[in-house]
Amino acid sequence: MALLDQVLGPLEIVLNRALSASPQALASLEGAHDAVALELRDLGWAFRMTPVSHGVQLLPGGEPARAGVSTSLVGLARLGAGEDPRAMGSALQLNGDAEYAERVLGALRESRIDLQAEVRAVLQPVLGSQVGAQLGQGLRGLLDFGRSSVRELLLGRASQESAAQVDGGEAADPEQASAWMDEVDDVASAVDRLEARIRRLETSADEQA
Amino acid sequence: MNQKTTHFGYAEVDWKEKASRVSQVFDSVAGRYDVMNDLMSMGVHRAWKRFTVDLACVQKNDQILDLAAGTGDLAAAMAAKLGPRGGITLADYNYEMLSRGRDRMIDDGFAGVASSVQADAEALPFADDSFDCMTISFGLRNVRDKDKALRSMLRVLKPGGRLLILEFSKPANPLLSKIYDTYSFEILPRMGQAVAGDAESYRYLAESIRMHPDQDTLQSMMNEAGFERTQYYNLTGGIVAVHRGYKF
Repeated sequence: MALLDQVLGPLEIVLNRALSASPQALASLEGAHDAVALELRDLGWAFRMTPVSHGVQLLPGGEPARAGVSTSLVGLARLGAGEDPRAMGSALQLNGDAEYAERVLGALRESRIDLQAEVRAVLQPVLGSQVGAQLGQGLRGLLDFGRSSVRELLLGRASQESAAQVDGGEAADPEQASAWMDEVDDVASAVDRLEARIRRLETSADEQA
Repeated sequence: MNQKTTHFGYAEVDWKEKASRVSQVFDSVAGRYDVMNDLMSMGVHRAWKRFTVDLACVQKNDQILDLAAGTGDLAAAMAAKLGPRGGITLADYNYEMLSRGRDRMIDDGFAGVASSVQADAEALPFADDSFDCMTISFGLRNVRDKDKALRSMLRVLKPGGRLLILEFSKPANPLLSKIYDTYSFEILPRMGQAVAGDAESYRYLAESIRMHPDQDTLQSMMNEAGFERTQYYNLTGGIVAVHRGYKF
């Protein structure tokens, strides 16, 4: 926790510097007052990012938060390597209001912050260059993940009101999904054939009558 | 009838006397204040202040109040981030220090955005909801009634505004604490005598630091005053801390 305390201030500074340089990014946070939490399970780190008038405030601890992302160093490394988050299972968990999380993460994306370089620079003195680089790359992967997948992965499933937990583990891996889609095609063909048979039976019944 | 008293370093003094005694200290050290800061902290105070300014995240149009502005080093760093529609007010109880801060702002080219006001932190002479950002650097420990000062600061902050307090605090490591004590009480007054010709003022400095509330106590005081989302950052092992709170 002491390490996290050392990191949060500098991290907040680099995030806010980027947000301040982008009026559009800052404007997109207007009216947003709730926290989005980020948990790195294996480091025992949890902090929340809360929009304020001049950017975001980073506070230690994961509660209270409207939405949360929970992962591990390995999870971040997989994100950083460009792995599809839908195939990551329990390595990446998303909780709460996904639309709100996307709004806050989207503001950071909009700011065009070079998260990989900035986070590496901030974390290097306390965690060493390798872990610092890994975290930076992983967090950049998290933002990229937001761009491509938060809506796709969550918005269709997690209702904003219920703030239900949606776990990346629910998603199948690509091979399983492909096999499942083949089975769906087979069922659809069978249903088509069945419908055709029923139509023929109905026609012949009408003719006999 | 019992007279109301307060701390002046380790000494217990009459309530009304503290302000004038603190003023005497700063009258005495004003001329060499910046040099002494560099010497005493071995230049680290510049990093502490830079961190505070970075954390304040000044926006171009912000209205800022720098309390206990002193010679204006923090104010000048923040003024550099302001646009023409922004503004910064330097406030200090001590005229000698304030006049040096005002001169620095003019010399550094910030006359257009800066103004200066001699003011008591316990009764700030500004309208409610006036400032987006407020800082007080190495000044709160000299204030008599810190709770009253914090309430006064909250009053003049705009909703959504933030207060940052940079102040000496309590080192987290006992060994560092011991080294720091030796430095403060043995070396600092001698340095003050050698450079500023004033050992007593620097003895007061060391004593006033020890009498100042520690990190958690100050955070509680901010919460009590009505600040929200308060937090603090320890710098140099807790020798100094930056506290921040918001008004919502």
